[in-house]
Amino acid sequence: MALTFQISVRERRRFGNNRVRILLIEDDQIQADQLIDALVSVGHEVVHEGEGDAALRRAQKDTFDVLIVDRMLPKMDGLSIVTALREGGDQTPAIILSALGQVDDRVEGLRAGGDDYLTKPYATSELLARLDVLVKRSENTSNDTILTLGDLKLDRINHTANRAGKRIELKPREYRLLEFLMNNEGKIVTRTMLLQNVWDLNFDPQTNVVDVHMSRLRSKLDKEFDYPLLHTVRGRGYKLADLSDKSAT
Amino acid sequence: MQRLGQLLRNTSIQLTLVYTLVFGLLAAGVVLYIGHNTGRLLIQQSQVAVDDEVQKIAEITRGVGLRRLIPMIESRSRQPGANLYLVADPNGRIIAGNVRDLDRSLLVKDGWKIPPFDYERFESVDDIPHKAIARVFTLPGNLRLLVGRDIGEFQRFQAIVQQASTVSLAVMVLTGLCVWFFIGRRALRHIDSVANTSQQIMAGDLSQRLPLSGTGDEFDRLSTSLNSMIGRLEKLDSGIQSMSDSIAHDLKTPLTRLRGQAERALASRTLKTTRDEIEGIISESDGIIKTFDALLMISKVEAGASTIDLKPVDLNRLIADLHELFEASFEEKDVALILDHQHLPPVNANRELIVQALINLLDNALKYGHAEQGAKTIIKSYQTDDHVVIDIADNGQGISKEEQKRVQERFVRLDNSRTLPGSGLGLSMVKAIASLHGGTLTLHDNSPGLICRFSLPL
Repeated sequence: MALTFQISVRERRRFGNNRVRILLIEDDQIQADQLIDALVSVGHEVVHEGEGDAALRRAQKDTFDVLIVDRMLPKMDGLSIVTALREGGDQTPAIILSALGQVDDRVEGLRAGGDDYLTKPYATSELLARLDVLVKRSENTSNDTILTLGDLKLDRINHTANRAGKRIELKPREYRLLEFLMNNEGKIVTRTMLLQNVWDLNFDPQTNVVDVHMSRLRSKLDKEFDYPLLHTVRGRGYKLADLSDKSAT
Repeated sequence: MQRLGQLLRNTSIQLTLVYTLVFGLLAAGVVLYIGHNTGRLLIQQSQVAVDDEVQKIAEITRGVGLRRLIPMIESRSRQPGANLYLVADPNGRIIAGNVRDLDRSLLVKDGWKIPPFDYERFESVDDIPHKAIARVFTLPGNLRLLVGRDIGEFQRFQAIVQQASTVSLAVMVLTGLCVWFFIGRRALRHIDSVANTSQQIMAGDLSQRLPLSGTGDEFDRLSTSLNSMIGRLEKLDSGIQSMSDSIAHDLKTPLTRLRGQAERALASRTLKTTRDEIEGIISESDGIIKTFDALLMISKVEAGASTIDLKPVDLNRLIADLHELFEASFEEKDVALILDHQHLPPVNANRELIVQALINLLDNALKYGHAEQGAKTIIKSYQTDDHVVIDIADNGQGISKEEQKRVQERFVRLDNSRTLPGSGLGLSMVKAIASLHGGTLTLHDNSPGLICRFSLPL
């Protein structure tokens, strides 16, 4: 939990004018309290429900930006809540939390209508990162043909990238990596998220396979340019952001 | 007595008993039926014969009258195998015929005397009482004429039939009882030995196996499948044993380290060092959690295929993706990751598990497969008659023959790997995943280096 409270002031500022309203459905009071602390400390608003049926009624009555749903609940399990909401036409993004994390559980969770699936115990930073990406995705499903960040441009039709007018040669996988990062610009993305979204592999890397790819991308992206765009967030993951003006102030 | 009780409760014996009873009753019924019918038939035939005779006598006497009757009866009486003839006066005195004596009351009324009666015969050589049926007429002058037929022969025939039936019935019942006893004893012997062995197994000796008679009968088939079940149980049991030992031993180390770090964090004076220690604690806990995850995954996979979804998986795409993912990491270590790929047909598998298995093997090669010069790791995929095979072959130090087996067990880490991060669970997980799919993981010498051969059935 220690890391949770180290969330940077920058992030707090970012969420200040864009509060995310979360329904947390979790029956374990201690875990719920820890999560509420972490979520509130980065500026989110949290409503907590401990029982499945009450949570479903709450979700149907009220509007939220994201649902965080524990899978094992008294009265009604988490997957049924999500399924029930989806059947009722409610598309609020949902992250499913579960102590079951093996083999098919994830697939089952996503099939039930969950948008993401996290296995307990998870790092709080991982949950926060995924939450960000999910909110962003539902807010802004960008179909722009050209993505821009600072002096970086990504052409989604020709699959090419330019920085400061200079062409950056990308392999197909590097293109997908950069596209994912640009779609989630300013958000922390974890290594697991990258593996899931860019490589379509769902596993927890024991070795630094992702880091090697990231450092190669970084050398193409940042090496010969004025300021870095790809940042390593220690112990958490990576972030693509243009911090040049902020670092100046 | 108890033994007999057991015998009676045995299914095959109950069946034999029921069969014996039913067949016995049926056979008895057939015997009675045949006996009854032959008796009736014989009496009918006799009646016809007697009626015939009477007809003839009547024809003869019609012409000549009573005068000639007596000599004719006498002459007929003396023919060999003759019927019964008797003429008596109104007082019952016998005048002519071949009957020496009979119950005189039979002569009182005319008509058939059907239930066979006893009589004595003149030419009879033995003292056996003769039996006959007869018809009585009243002649003019109140004389009585009796014409009958001896049924002794018929009765003897009937007796023979009855005797034969009785004997065969007895033989049948006896055979039934013998079979009953033999089958029952054999079944009981089998069941007793199975019961005894199960007792020992329940007492905790899982090395015991049910005895086989070697005849391949249903008991052997049952025992064989029970034996393989016990074998599986034994394996699981020893797995649990060694696993709990290993958990106790191998998790103690990181927990001790964790405790040390927590103490240092408590004692540290600056916020910076406290933070560093706490970060260390978190990553140490993550390591422990990963170990538990791996253990849980292995036990879930080992628990069986029933809960795991299998779908056709395109291994070609998967192998290419993994090669692409790992190539850079290998390059960083100056190891060439080479793809020697043959097109593979889709196999029915769980994609997530196959990914996990291949990643474990690649991880191992990345960690341990480095060589002084020209280091390379080859991912080779090919198809045999009934399997698809994926070899991960490095040219590093390799593993000695003796250690190849040991290294697949849980938590086993070879001496030269202890300094590197890892739980010692990677290969046991790959092995569990392979066997879940009905495949195998085998290790081979690449001289120099190690080949991990992951093979899945088509």
